[in-house]
Amino acid sequence: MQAEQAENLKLLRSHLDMDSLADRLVTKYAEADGQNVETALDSVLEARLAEVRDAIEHASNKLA
Amino acid sequence: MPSSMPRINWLEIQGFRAFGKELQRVDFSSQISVLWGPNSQGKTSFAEAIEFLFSGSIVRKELLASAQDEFADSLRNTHLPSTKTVYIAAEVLDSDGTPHSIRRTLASDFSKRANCTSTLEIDGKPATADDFAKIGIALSQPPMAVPILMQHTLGYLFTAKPLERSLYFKALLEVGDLDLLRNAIGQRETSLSMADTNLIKKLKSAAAIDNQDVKDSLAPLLVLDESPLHVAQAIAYALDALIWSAGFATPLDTATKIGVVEGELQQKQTKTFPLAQLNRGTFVTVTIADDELWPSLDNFGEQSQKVDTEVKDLTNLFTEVLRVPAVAANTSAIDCPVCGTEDALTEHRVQVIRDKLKTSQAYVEAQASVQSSLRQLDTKLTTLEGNIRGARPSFQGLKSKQRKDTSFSVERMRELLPEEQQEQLQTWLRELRSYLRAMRQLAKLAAAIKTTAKQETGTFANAEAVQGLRTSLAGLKAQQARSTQVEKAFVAAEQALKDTLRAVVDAKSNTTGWQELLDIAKDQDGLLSDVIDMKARAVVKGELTKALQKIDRAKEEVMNDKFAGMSQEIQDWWERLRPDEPVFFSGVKPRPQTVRTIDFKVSLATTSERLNPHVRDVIAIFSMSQMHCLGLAAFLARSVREKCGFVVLDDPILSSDEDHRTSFLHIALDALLKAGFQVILLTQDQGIQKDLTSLYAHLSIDQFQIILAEPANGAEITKTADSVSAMLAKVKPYIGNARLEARMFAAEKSRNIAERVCKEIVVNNRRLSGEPTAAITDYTGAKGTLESLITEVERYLIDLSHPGKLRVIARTLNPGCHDDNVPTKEALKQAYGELVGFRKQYSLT
Repeated sequence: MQAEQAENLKLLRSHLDMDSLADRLVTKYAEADGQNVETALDSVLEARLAEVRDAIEHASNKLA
Repeated sequence: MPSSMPRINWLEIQGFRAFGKELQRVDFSSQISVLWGPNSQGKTSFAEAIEFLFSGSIVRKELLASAQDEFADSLRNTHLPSTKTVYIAAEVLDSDGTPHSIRRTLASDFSKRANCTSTLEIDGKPATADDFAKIGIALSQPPMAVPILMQHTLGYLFTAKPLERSLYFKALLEVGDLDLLRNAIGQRETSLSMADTNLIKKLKSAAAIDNQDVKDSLAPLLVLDESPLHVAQAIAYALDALIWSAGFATPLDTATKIGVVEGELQQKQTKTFPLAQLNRGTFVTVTIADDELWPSLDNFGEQSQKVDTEVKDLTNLFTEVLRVPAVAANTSAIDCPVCGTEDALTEHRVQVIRDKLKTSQAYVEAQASVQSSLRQLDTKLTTLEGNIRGARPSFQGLKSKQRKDTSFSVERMRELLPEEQQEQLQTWLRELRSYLRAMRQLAKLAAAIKTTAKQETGTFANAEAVQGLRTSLAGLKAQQARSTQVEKAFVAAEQALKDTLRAVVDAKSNTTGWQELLDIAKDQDGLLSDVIDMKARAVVKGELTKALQKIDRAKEEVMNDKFAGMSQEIQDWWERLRPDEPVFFSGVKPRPQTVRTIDFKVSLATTSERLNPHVRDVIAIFSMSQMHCLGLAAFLARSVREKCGFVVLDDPILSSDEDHRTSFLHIALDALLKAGFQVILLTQDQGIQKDLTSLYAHLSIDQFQIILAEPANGAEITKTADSVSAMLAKVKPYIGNARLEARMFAAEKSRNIAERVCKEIVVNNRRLSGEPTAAITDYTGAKGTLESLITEVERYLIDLSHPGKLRVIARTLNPGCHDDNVPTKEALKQAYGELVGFRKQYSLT
């Protein structure tokens, strides 16, 4: 990744809440460095999806 | 020259665009170089060669091509022999002054479908564009990666749509990558989208049942948030609601509740139409493995041949006789247990029976094997018959009276179906007939084979009988495959009809959604899983939307920060180019709350003091000249910021913009040079060339000319100020022009060229003869007139016709300065051609 791009992404992250979904997506994008970007971003969303699923399932099991 | 940044030391071009087979080399000895050439002589090809060297492409294609194939085969010179490679090479001095060789070779040109490819070497080793950073060359983001300003990049800005203009400036300001990031994340929304599963569709149908209590029970399952689910309870309440509404007491367990609702549903629906009579099982095929059957039958046939008929017939009898204990243990003659003949079974006779049985043992075993195989075949066929029966629609089992009692008839279906769906009934009837015919045929074949298989085993000792069975079985398999195909077509017609009838019956009996409720009640685990997934996807999708909004806001902040710095730098260059004007560029910034729009602001004052200016958008206010200037200012600001070390400017000042030429040449270029940049300026304007030569004489400015004399050879670059080639190129545009002023100018300039030709031939020959100090300046005044020079040069001419040709040229061009008797355009063309010939034959530069 060119220095300018890396700098831009660093600047962008400085305006985002640490470890928010936006921050995690931008970080993953930077890590991917142009390689399989879609898969990298999907992995972040899949991880979040799994968290939400688990949370709903756990709460539902408590109700049942 | 300040050397804190890299600079190009020399450049070589072969076969690239306007350049031909002859390698062209340019040595840059000064910090500033001017390359002059008339239009269409290869200046832009020169700039693009530098661009291609560093980027492996040309921005012209990205900015101007409306279709991929427009630039097909455009990099390789059309006239280049196939044996020649296309390459650009350069030597770059890094910030320490260390030389590095760079060479890019075209591997494949642009084609109708693909981009060009090339190989790059730095210091003789394979390299990529990223390696330029290692020698201190910082390339920018595409499309304008290399600091080269060309007419079409500025022109693009003026003609582009707002979005494209915005992208252009974002590229200049290095923020285009944030848009790419935003788009890449935005596109991932699709990965969270998923079509409703069947169970979700059924839940939605059930939640629409015409019963408020059912609605209230199921609605929480469809709320798209992180709230927990109680599927079992929701479904139980929904079933209870239906049971209550039917006037029944509610049972405790779910299975019973389902049964009650199913009964109620069937009762309600049957009043309208007995839908259940259309039900049937799916036809399940039976695999008839006959791998063992045929070898078994073949073996039986063989063994049968070996044993005579009498033994075959008596085998069972012999076996039974030997099972009698008295016979088995016989040591003396005993009575026959079958016919009672006294002393008939002697020891010898019993031994004979034993021997007979021994020889027929293989036959017996083969027979047993065949019987076993045929029993298995029978079992399979029985299963197949059962499957055929199970795959018949229920109404097929009804007698005529029963059909009448249940109101099941084609006529009733016709009444129920809406007009526009009557065709479904016809299709169903047609496919039903085919299906039942196929099934009947299959059943018939199965029954026939069963009958054959039940024949006496000995029948199959006959090869014809075996072949008959083989043929029948092959026919059955084929019919089974056909039936499966026919069923597929029937299923489509059947499903369409059932769905339509279901909807009609549901509506008429007010049971819409009941069946779906029953379906989800029977698969609650599956429903829970699907609903959790649906809710989670909706939640994360919402979070993604918010994340994108946050990224947009953060991007705006980054852009604001960068624009603030960049804006000031552009403004500084603007002031150098157009100082003290009442209309002036006053800033660049992204438009608030927008993703894709960048505003360029202009301030309008009434005087050069610029008091109380009004701020407006550049696009609406600026003239073409001002827009051009803004593009140039932005480019220079970016180049200085990136510190690439060199800039290439291809005719940066419009020929119509005389007023600002001085500011550019005196102030802007001076600032660029003082900042340490190597400047390579290409121009078709001789005035700019002369001004630069005077202004930057103290820097020993390099002067080059580029001429495309013969397209087959390609453009040629020479380092010179007043060579014959340069003089010929300057006059060429006027040759062939019939206007008086043009002919007068051409005649005068051509006469000067003739004089120069004579002088150079004389001086070159004098030097060859041992006069190293011989110089052009030896021939001035009277010695420098054309007539005098012809006398002087005559002795050095290599062709007898040349003196005469020179005298004709002198006569033709002599009256050029006078208004009377100005040479015709034809005469000028002739003289010009002769002069070109002299240049070539005497190898003049």
